[in-house]
Amino acid sequence: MPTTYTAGNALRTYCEAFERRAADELVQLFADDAVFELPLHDGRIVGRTAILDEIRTALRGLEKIKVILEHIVESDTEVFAEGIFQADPIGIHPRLDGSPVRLDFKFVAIVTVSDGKVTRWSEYFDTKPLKPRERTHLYPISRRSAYWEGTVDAGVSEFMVYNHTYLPLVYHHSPAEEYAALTERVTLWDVGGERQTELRGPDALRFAQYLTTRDLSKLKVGDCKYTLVCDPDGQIICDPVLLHPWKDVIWLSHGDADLTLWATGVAMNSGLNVEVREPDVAPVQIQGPKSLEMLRGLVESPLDGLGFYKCFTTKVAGIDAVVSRTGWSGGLGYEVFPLSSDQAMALWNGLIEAGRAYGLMVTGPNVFRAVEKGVTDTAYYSNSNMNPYEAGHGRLVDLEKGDFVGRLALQKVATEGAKRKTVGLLIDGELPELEWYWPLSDERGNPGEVRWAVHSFELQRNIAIAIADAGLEVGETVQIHHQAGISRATVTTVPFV
Amino acid sequence: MTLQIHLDSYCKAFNGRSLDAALSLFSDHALFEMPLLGQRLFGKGEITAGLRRIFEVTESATIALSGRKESLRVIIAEGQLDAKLHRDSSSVRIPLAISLEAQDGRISRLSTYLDARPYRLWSDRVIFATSQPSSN
Repeated sequence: MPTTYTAGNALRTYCEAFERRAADELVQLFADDAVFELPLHDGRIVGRTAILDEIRTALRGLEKIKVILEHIVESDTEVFAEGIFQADPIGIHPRLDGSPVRLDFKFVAIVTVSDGKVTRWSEYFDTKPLKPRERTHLYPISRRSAYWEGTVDAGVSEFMVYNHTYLPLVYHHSPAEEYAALTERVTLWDVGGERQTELRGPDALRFAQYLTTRDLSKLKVGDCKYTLVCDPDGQIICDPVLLHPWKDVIWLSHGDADLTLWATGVAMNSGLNVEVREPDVAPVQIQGPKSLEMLRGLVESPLDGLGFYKCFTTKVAGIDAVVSRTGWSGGLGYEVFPLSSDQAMALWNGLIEAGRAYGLMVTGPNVFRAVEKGVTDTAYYSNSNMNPYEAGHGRLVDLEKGDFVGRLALQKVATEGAKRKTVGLLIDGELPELEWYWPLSDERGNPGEVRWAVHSFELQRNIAIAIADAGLEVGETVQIHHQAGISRATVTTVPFV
Repeated sequence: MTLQIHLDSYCKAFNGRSLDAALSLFSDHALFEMPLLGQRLFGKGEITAGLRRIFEVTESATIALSGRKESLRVIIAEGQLDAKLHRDSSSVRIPLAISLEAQDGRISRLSTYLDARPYRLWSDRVIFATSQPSSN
């Protein structure tokens, strides 16, 4: 492999290595202070290390790459080329009809070489066709998050409606870019749609004990707990993170369920002295290995001592807030709950500014990582009549703590054994986008359904979480029936990594 | 006419907003690619409508080239487009590249490369339902 290049050789070497996804072959190509300009980025990338990081991230999200150079006009030190780039993006499902999503576009590349190394790499192409989707159509009946302005500035293109609120899911990044940002740097999520059901009053803790499935008798101010709320039949309504930020105040930070309405109804007949309401508190999540480092200078109280599933009240970027070491990434991360929406954008802007030094990326909650880590959400249980034992959350049910909603039904399940269980699936081949649950089949019939399915960047294959017959064993194979055909899958355990 | 002269003539006509001068440079069956228009345009009829659309929606639009390389078949250049829409209060500057080929003394293909995503509202509608040039 050469260590110095003419401009034309550099261009061809780059394109060939890119096709083979061989980023390591490009280490010798760039000068230490090389400049890399792509329309996909707001600014130029400077320096060999940063350029190679960018290329590795890009390659992680692409396969079946082909670069066709149609015209090359070159001298020893400079080349102007025109060509066509083709690739399949990883992590973006084929269309509903099964046809693949392709990244095909024409480009011009201009490469300058000095002393045998690339000092400038500039590309020109239109990124408009590369957007996964146009922005979701919006309806005024759904609420906008307190961070709306910030997410629009960050290029949000798709939302889901979550607790009657638009929750940003998709921005103008590839899934691979977002996965890299979450697992290697730090990400900021607008989860203002993650609402709080506040229980306030002298009986707040007693009421929480009755409403949820875990034992809270030893709960102290500053504690958080992942817990469940079930209906009288023992079926999961949602799986909130419970925070105890102050005496006589409990927050149930919950997924997409009308928990405040449910809790209000239960409280009305409880005889307990407790008020139930939805406070004006819209959280953000700061997730990723650099989250602590990034937040340290912004959070007034010492953050290093904040343990897993603990919270405190402090100031963040000068804004009064509750900070908890919780989140949906399965790794290091925090949630910040500003105590009023009026201050939400000031908090957001402070986080954006502090994050620049750490490569902060604004993203949605990363379902790719969540599934790898087996971190589920209310959406996993919805429309399924699933009880905690079937969900793999039997440990979150304390039948000995005294009466609580659903206890009798759950006692019966615990005694008789759950009829279903949650399993992982390692899937062969491609999958379309999951828009409704996919049935499973095997020689015994229909043993369950896929409820979440994603590409695993860590395992480099498709994976899924399914609710299945309790008799289905690890290592058995099943067929997944989806809108693009049938895929074979092997049963495994969750989490995947 | 060399490719370089074709390119310079096109830029001069474009910057001068001279539809006739620009069209005279293209062959009857030329291909014109401009991401801001969202479509590949074939032939003088479509190119006429496309350029007219650009001139209609812009108060000013100027291409400035900063570098170029030429072979016998193609010239590739880079530079920038400064443009101001009538509806906007300020202009935008967009990095751009142009690739141009010619045959029998006329431009047979002119492809403009720029990132239209932030600016595509210029023309996010079908402007060429037919290839007939607009009458106004």
